[in-house]
Amino acid sequence: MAVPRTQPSTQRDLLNLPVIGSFLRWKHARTSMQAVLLAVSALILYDGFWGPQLAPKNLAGVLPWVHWRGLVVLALLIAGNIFCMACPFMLPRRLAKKLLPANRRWPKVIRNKWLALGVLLVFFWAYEAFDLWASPWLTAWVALTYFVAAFAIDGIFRGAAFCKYVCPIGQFHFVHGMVSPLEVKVRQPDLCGSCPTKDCIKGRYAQRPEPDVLRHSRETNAAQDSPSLSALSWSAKSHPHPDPLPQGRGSPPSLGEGIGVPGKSLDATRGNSNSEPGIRHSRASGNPSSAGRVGQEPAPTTSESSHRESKQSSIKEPKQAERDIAIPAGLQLVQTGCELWLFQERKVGNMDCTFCLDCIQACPYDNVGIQLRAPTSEFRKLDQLHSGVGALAQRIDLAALVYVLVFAAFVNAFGMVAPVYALEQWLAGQLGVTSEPVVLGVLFIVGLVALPFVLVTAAAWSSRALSGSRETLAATATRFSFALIPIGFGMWLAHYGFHFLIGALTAIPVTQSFLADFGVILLGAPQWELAAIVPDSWLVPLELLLLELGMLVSLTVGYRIARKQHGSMARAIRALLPWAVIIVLLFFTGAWMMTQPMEMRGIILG
Amino acid sequence: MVRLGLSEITHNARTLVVVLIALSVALVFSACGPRAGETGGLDVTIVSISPEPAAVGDAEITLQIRDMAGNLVSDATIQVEGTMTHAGMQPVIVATEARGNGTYVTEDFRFTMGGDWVIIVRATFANGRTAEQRIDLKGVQGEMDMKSDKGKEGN
Ligand code: SF4
Ligand code: SF4
Ligand SMILES: [Cu+2]
Repeated sequence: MAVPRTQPSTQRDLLNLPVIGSFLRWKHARTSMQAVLLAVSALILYDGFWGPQLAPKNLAGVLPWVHWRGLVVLALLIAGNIFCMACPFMLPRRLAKKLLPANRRWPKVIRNKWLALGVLLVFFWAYEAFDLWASPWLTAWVALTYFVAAFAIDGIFRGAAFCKYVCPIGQFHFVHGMVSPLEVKVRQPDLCGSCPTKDCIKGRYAQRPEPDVLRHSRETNAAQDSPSLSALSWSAKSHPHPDPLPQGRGSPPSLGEGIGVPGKSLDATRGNSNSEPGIRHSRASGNPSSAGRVGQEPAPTTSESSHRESKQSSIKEPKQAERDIAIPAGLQLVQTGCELWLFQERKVGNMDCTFCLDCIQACPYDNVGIQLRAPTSEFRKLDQLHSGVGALAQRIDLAALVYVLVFAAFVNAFGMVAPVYALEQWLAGQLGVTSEPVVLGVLFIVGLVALPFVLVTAAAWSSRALSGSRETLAATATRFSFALIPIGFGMWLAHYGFHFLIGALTAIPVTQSFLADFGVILLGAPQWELAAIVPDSWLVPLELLLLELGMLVSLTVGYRIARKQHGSMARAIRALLPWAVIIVLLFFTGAWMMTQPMEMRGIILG
Repeated sequence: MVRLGLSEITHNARTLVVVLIALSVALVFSACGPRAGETGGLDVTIVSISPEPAAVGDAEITLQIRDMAGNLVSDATIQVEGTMTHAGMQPVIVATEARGNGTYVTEDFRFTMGGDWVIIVRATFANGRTAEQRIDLKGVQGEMDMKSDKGKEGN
């Protein structure tokens, strides 16, 4: 190909770092990280099901709730979505892609975050209602359910449907990844314009020898004038999406076109996104052979006509970059493109990106990197069309997810301080019930749904009234939801960071005791006194600092959002005011919790 | 639409390897029995905890220890660990003083927070053998319970 490789990037790029860079470029980088976590998961499952049912003495009690949660938030803070990159659920899922058809389209009604939001709410509730933190056995069941769900869903549906539409952990990472300092991003945007293959989204194909069996049956079939097996076999085997109807076709942007222009982004033909409901698309238009399908679910030659072409084994060379690329028979997919349907050329930010590195591996020009960025830069692009996501400012489902995650940060932390028990007792008395799951169900509906709804509606209403904005209530609430991410993240960091800091070393004695049960004595008897890695006295100040930073960043982001929308400073401040009140209220709520005595029990009401 | 046929699967050596790995993992799992974790071999009774009821702060736990044959054990070294049902908390690990007649009293034990505790008693016998028993101690009173209990009768 005539397209030159990228020049050494001037941007700060993880891939250019000496050791980490070469590791991440290695073809099996992700697999090796996943393999390590899969091995750890196997230990967790084993210990959870068959180990001692006392959380602090069991790998399933310690590793997920103390280490993994803490490391995830720290990784999001200092790097990016590292957990999805190393996600162990992806290995069995890859097997599913090979064994099962994986050809259904994800139902349109749930091509958004609502399902994941529901799963997330159920998880938060179950965590408290069934004291998952205290039960290695239940923890193991949750992990096993994850493996099975990822396997089943991605075995049935095309692409990374589980990650994008179901996985609650993934949603947590996607939302908080918005404040991460790293982003998987194109190095030289111009180069994408002249790229004829779009491997980053379609995947890379290579010649493969035709197995004897296939050739034989092809010849037999050809004699009977039936469709050629080998011509079809590529689409079944080497292409991840054998369904002849590409999803969401009909919004064909011309290649090389810039990313959607803010304000004009309603016109999906200008940028592109996948076919998420809640995003307006023009579906009617569409030339199936144009490259417009790039960036939606990739389905290079799955239209009827190209099937026919490939049956004739004609290797169709693209006449121009705008032409679709046919994948002729005999070509094998050697590297998948983005299974989350993010097309690099128009990808914006970290939303829906699992840092899977497929695009980096697929791009033949080495034009995708993991680049350093200002952690809040993504919030300036709320109106811009994000490939595979749409414009964030129009995603009500995403905003709902954000609000729930923000409030969950506080409700989840509230679950471990003393006043929660008094509240539960009181509520149980008022409702006249003694079932803890029911009482907690009510608490969660109030704390994660009703209260946010009332607060947000009130804030959106006053923001509009104060600024004279003509945007609808829902649009205002959606736009400003993103301003709350940093304070929510600050609270998650404070909480999960706290558990990690006071409990990081507990992994040592638990591993010692695990090994000892198999006759391996490592460094003597388990040193149960090992726990914290920082002095106790640091914890509250550190937590407050994180929450404070969250508040400040939230206020800044909120101001920028308002300023961008309203132009004048005075109007922007008026528009921000109600949201600032919520942000500050959240800060004081969090700070109050941090000074409450901690208490952990599965309560018995009555 | 062509689905993946069996012949295609078997042709893909990589897939086979993955299937084999998955199967062997499953095998290892089903072969393993439960791991011991709880060593047993000890019969511990908590005679008293003062102050009563157990609450955040310094506490003294009096234990009576028998072996599995029911004989009082008076010559063992007994360590007491207090831990939460939540992982990742700093456990409280203290030595005990033998008071004869199988009775041991903790030294400098402290409940660091309210909630559900687990008391783990570890014995090292004169012959070097070790044994362990766990006792649930639910509802150690936190600061809030203690406040609200003032003026109420103790329960
Ligand atoms: S989104 Fe995908 S990669 Fe991320 S945690 Fe979920 S299953 Fe794993
Ligand atoms: S392939 Fe998609 S999900 Fe994976 S790193 Fe690239 S953009 Fe992110
Ligand atoms: Cu907690």
